[in-house]
Amino acid sequence: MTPSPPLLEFRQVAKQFRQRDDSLLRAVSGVDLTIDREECVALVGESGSGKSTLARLALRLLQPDAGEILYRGRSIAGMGGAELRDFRRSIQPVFQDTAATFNPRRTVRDTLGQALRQASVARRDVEPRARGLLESVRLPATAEILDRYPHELSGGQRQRLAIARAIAMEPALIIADEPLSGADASIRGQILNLLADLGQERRVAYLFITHDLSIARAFARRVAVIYRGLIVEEGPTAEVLRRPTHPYTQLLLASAPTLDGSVDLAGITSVARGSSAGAGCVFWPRCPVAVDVCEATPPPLVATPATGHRVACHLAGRTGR
Amino acid sequence: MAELSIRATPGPERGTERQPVAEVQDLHLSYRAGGHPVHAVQGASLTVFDREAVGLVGESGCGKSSLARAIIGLLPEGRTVIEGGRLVVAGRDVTRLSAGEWPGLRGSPVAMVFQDSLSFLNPLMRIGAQVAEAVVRHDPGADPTARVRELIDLVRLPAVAARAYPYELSGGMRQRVAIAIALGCRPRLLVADEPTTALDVTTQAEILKLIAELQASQGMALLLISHDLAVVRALCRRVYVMYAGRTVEWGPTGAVFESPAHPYVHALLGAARTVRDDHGRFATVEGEVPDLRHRIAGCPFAGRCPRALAVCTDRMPAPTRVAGLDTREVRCWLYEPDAAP
Amino acid sequence: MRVLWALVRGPVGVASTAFVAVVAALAMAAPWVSRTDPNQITNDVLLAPLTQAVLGTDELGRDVLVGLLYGLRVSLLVGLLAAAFATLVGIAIGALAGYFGGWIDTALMRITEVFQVMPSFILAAVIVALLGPGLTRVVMVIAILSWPEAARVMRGEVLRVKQLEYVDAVRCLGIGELSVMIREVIPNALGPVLAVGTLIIGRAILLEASLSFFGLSSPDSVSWGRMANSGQQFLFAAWWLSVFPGIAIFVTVLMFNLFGDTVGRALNPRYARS
Repeated sequence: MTPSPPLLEFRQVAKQFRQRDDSLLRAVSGVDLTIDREECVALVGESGSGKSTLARLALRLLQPDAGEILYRGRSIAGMGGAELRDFRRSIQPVFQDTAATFNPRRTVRDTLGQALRQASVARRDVEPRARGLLESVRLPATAEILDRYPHELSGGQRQRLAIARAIAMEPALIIADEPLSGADASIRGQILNLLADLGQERRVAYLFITHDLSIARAFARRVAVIYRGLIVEEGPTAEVLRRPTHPYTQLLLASAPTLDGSVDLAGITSVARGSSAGAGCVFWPRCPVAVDVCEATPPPLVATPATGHRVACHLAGRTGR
Repeated sequence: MAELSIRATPGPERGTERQPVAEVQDLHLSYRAGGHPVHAVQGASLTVFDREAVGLVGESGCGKSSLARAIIGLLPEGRTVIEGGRLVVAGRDVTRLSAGEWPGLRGSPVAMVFQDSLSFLNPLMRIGAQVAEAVVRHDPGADPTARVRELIDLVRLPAVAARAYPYELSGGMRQRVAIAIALGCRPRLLVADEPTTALDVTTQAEILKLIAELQASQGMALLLISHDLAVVRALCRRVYVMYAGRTVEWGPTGAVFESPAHPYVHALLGAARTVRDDHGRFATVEGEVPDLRHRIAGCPFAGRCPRALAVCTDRMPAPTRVAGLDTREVRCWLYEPDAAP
Repeated sequence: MRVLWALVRGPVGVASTAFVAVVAALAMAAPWVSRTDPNQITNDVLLAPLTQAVLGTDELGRDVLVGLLYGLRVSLLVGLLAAAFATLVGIAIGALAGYFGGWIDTALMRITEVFQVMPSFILAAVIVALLGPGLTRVVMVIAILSWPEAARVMRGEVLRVKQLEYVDAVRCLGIGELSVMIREVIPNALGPVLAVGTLIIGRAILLEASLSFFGLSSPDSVSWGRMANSGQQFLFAAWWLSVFPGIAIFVTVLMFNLFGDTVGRALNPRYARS
């Protein structure tokens, strides 16, 4: 019996943008990534890694230049009509900037109402359903809150509202792009608990985009590390963080200061070998352990079958690492 | 547990004669904006001695930025009212300093580095010229060209960067420029307000390392303000924790973070760890920060505190020593020997 | 509704809004406010102000105050109609150019530039001279000359708003592009262009006064410009014939400009609440 196809699959997806000076920026170059039902995958990368572009490609806000994106086995590029509607309902975003994520002229009621109506909820059911959504995200389900405008809510409240809007469509996958970036430490826990609870109750998968490996560690079963448009390492979170193989993953781990002071920043060496327009490994200019082949040839993403741990590095598998 | 190898050379222990380079004593500060005044700081005290690295942590709205700006006189003019307390910078009482007198103190002895380097730098001037401005103003004896080259090298930028404009540099490089400008003033105290918050993790690590090394080699004090506790742990020997406009606990960073005394600090550290507990839950601090438009008589954390006493809503306690050390203090009724339960 | 309350905050807001409201009411109620026919030729020629006639009379015995009142109707009519057309056209063109970008943007912007570089008064004068005077023509000419500014402002604002995350969030709900443009982007981009629209009123009034000063406006309607023009010859003998229309033009244009500022502030949701 063939297994059911993964919920979302990227196959060799590439996307580039033309910049002001007419040069081409390769935001994403040949990414393979799979997300299964009810799975939580973290995509970890810094600015310029292409993670947000990947999110927008998955949401079909952008079209890939190469490769394809499959939803339940069907390519999303060709979708239309009812199939496209079904796809749109199934994948919902929670964006980073809570200040800009709502139409400033719509009240909370209008924003949720719009989502509910798109989810084919009858007009007379909208109000009770909206209150239900507010309860689900632990906001007071009162007329007072429903009448408020986005700028009258705190950042934490807006983030909850964004989550409420996302679950209004009863999606199968939520793509959360840095949902904790503006949040204070005390609120982070609240939002993470909420996301975890909703994931369980509503059987939602997550693609959690973040630059913070500790959040990936705590929340995601699988993690993919992305650097300049390419996945450099991927696998079960515990495994990848226990045995980080790619030099960039190691650098990320070594760069994050910890509360117990166990990370020694003095150990970080900055390497800068000139620009990375070359044909070799995308991390070569900053890699502390690069050798000649790294400059010449891009390394393939190679998997260790037993663990499902994939790394794109010429030096992986050599002894000592 | 591994000791950090890059912490600044600590000054002598408290009790011996050393002059604080900046001292804030029970500061009360509010902003007038339209109808309601916002009481941004309602009783904060801190001291920074020469050559030491001190951290000031708290969540958004706790008043840490206001406090930092008070030390360098950058509070919004006309809207700010200092309602009480004292500010002493380099031995001089600056609490009621006028706008005209502050420029004499900025740069030297106190220099500041901000979070957003792009708006801090003049977009129309080359980097080298901007560093030179600082040198010329605060280091009149030095040869500007040589000193600028020296500073740019000191912050590990390539020499060619001097000819660049701010928009041509990355965020991390611009932050290095901001540090170079600050160093050009030969400050006794460097105030860094969220200097790496806008940067990537790997860039942040490089900048933090740079700040730590420079602080030690240039012999200046550092006041690092951040909402990121781990960053402060990495760089600062002492830390002050603020909540709703007050400093609530302070002491050696390691001790405070490992065994926090104040319930808020305890909860904050738990939440900052981003790990699940045995039930799979992330630690949070329930409730919301109090509205700073109202003056709060008692402890601002009383409403959210799992161990609140009746007296907590009435008055804010004076600082008490923790574990008998005069280097660690907390403002909490749980530690007051004669507080009624 | 909140927008209306925001209009009356601050002395400038109150003054300009009050002025606009009063002036609009006066213009509509002119025949009832004053029973006198402005074109009524009488024997009370060249009376000084504050004698029998509050603002004096002209060389044909016509009351200046009544003339100002009826001239107000013309000025406002032309100003409002021209500004309304210009703004509507500008909104449409600016929104399409800004939202769709690409060749649509380039094409529409080139057309806009063509209209923008025309010297306004000269063109207006030429058109009216060729086609003959008449209020409708004046309105159309002024509208044609004013829409580029509105289009530019609208386009700029649409460019900014369409980048905001909520536009993407709404797209993810499955709402079509046209609906997104009309219901999500345009309403949030209207603020600056409506403020510009009210500024256009001021300029339209001024342009109409200039045209009528040179006799290029409708000959059978009373107009401040024409009054000022015919008052020229009496500038020293009967100064009130030119000065009062001039003051009327100045004050009205000023007040409409200030009203434009007030509208711009009121429509910005962040400023509309305390």
